[in-house]
Amino acid sequence: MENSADWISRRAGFGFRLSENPMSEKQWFTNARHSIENSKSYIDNNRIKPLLKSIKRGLTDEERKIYSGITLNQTAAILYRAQLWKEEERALKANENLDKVIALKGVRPQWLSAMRRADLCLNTKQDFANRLWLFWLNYFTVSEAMNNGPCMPHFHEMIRKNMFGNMSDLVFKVVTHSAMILYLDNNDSTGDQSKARKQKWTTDGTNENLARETLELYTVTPSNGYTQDDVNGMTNILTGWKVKDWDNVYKAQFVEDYHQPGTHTVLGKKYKSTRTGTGQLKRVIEDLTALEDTARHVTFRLCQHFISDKPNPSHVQQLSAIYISNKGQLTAVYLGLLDILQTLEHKQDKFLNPEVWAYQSLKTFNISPPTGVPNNRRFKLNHIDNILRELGLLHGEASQPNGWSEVEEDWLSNEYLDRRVSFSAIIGLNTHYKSDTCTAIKNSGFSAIDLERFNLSSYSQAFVSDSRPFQSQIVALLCSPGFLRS
Amino acid sequence: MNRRDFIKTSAASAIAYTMGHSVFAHASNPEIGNIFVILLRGGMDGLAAVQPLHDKKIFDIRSSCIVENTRQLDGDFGLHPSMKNFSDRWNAGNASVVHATGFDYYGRSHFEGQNLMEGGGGAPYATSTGWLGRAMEVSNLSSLAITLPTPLICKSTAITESLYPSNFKKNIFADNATLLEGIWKGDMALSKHTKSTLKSYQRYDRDNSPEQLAREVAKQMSQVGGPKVGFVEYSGFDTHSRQGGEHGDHAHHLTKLDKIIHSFASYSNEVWNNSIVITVTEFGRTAKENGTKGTDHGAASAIFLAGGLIKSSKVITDWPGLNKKELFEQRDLRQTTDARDVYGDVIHHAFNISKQNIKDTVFPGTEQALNLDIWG
Repeated sequence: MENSADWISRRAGFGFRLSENPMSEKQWFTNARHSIENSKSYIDNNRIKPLLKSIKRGLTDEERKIYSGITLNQTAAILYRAQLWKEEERALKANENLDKVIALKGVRPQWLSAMRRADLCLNTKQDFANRLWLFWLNYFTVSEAMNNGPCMPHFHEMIRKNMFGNMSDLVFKVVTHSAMILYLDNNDSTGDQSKARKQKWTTDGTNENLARETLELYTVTPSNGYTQDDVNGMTNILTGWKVKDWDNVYKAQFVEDYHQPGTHTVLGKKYKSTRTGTGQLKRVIEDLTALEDTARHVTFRLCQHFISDKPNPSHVQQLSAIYISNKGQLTAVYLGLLDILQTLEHKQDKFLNPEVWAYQSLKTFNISPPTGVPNNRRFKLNHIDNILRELGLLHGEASQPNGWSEVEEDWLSNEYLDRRVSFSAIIGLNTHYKSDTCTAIKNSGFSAIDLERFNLSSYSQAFVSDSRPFQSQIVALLCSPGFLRS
Repeated sequence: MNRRDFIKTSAASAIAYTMGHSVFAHASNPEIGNIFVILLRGGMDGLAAVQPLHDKKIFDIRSSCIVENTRQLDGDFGLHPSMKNFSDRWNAGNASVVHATGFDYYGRSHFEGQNLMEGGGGAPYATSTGWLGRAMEVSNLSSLAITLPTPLICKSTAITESLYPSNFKKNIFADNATLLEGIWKGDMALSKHTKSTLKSYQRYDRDNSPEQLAREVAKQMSQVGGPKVGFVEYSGFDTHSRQGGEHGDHAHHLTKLDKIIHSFASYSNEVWNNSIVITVTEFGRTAKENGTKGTDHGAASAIFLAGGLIKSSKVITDWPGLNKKELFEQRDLRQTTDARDVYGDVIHHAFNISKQNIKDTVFPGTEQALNLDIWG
């Protein structure tokens, strides 16, 4: 008999709908490879307009127009900025509280991003590619800081579009994006011998935050043994990369007048400053991402996300070799990862992070993500960003630049478990989380065939079947050891 | 400032005091003390929190980060004006500061630094348990962390609990105890958490401001049979840009810290008399101000100590100096006191664990020869 895709769809995707028949494992891998090899169709699968259409209330026509472009181009950014100004000015004049402005600046962009993720992860068939997207959002964590909120949805889209290329291009795009430039304090970093300093346009000097994290988190990691001099070199190279035009906030650019001129050294290699700044930064990132240290780091992180909290060194070795021989071409690494996934035993031994678990829970019962639109920071069950925040993982709000944990030990705590229990109890009962599948199960219980698909222990299966009332059955399934792990 | 003399004398007095203490503890004060831990992530700027007054070099290397109107401590150091409540405790003789201290770590990475400050190991990622977790395990004590996620510092091989305000209502539809016991039965990792997860259902105020969390910890610790160790976290000290001096970002963070301490002091009732509050941060910041009126990742920072267990207010330091050649790599304040020796002495006095036991189980590879000499 052919293996079903149920296990792999939970390990490397968003699970399956009980209302749909199982796919074959072979078919799942074919689809996954197809979405990697034909990444253009993944990138072009833009659902933002239908998504906004599905949001019937809470957005003005103007906002709808702005949001439909926010992920795509800068014109929308300018419009968005203009609207923020208008709102802020009006609220200040009227001596109103700034709730709405705060909502537009910080809450709505986070919400929009979360809506977009939930929609793509639940309503498209490119599961593996979407899981990779979530992986990279965490790898390149950016949280709200220095008013970068409005840049966040665009940053997330940028990663989605660039994660099938070369690691070096991806890192370059990330560190020069305004969301990142603002988050890690590069915006004011100014070369000591720059024109801006000499002409006294500013008293600012260098700030090494982004430079250090580029070495530590995005490329070679401290195991490489780089020194403060290397951080200084990288800092100088990054001077001048800033948000120059605040009306065009998505577009960070190189402003030569703020750059530290001359030749800067990183890990023994010299990089000469250029007029555009791009060449120098690109070269250093190319060199950093070509190193074994970066290969090992990237592939270790991938293995940790998809395979095991403690990755098998031979898996990391295998993927690192692919990374190096393909010069950091990421699609080759993803395909290599799929090859490894295909050889794994079907154990339920990888704890799902709260976001993946939430999407799998909704998908199981064929529940669409709720479409409520937030106007302030107050909690509502029909705002998807609130749900993800409460469960513990909302991209854009990690407390530190190393992002969210990938290991069971950090997610398996009483408080996080309690939240999963609470959310499970909402499913099927709360008006925003109902579906035909839920109604059917409420009326006639889970069928044995349904439960077998989750590969639960016979004890768990029996326990789910015997639990009463209906909410307890849902909790018993979604919080069972076999569902919490995949 | 006693400069170099401090370390020399302290080593000798540690031995004498250790002996005296054990007698004292058993004779008249058999009760175990309480420790309230404030984790300050991001790297608190010790030089701004507790600014040297006589080391004039600081005025050469800092300008916008200089703190005006500091509160008087011991004549050599000024406390940041934001820390009014800590200052009151100082004046009452119940607060001290350890300065130029750290975890013998000069790598300037937040994540390695935080692993060391919580794990207490000799190298980053060398241990999967936390130093207070190990100390609690030795003494068979329980803790309450109002944090999310559970911090490494309180982890041990025993069960660790943490709580945090949530907006979710509890699951009211079923017999939760039967349900959770049933679901997780047979799964070692999950069933360990059944009891504590059921406890999380007793939701409290949804206000998650740190001072509110400190209040909750204080209330629970002051109950009979309540936890002996409490944890809260405050992040945000990573002030690379526009740090400010008397006012501004860093001042704001210190105000918060002061409120957390005050909140714990106000709500812990008589437990305060038998408590010590400690701050823990991964590193200090560059002695010299950076180009964007902030400070980058440095080395040594300061530790705040407060509570009824402290009987005399002191700034304890072997001041390394701020001259270029005195700074590590000409930029960072050197660590002249090992933070693990400081916390070791705190544990020794609060939990009555012998220094040898601390060396063996809590902070392997350390001297543990330090006596803070603030215990009355």
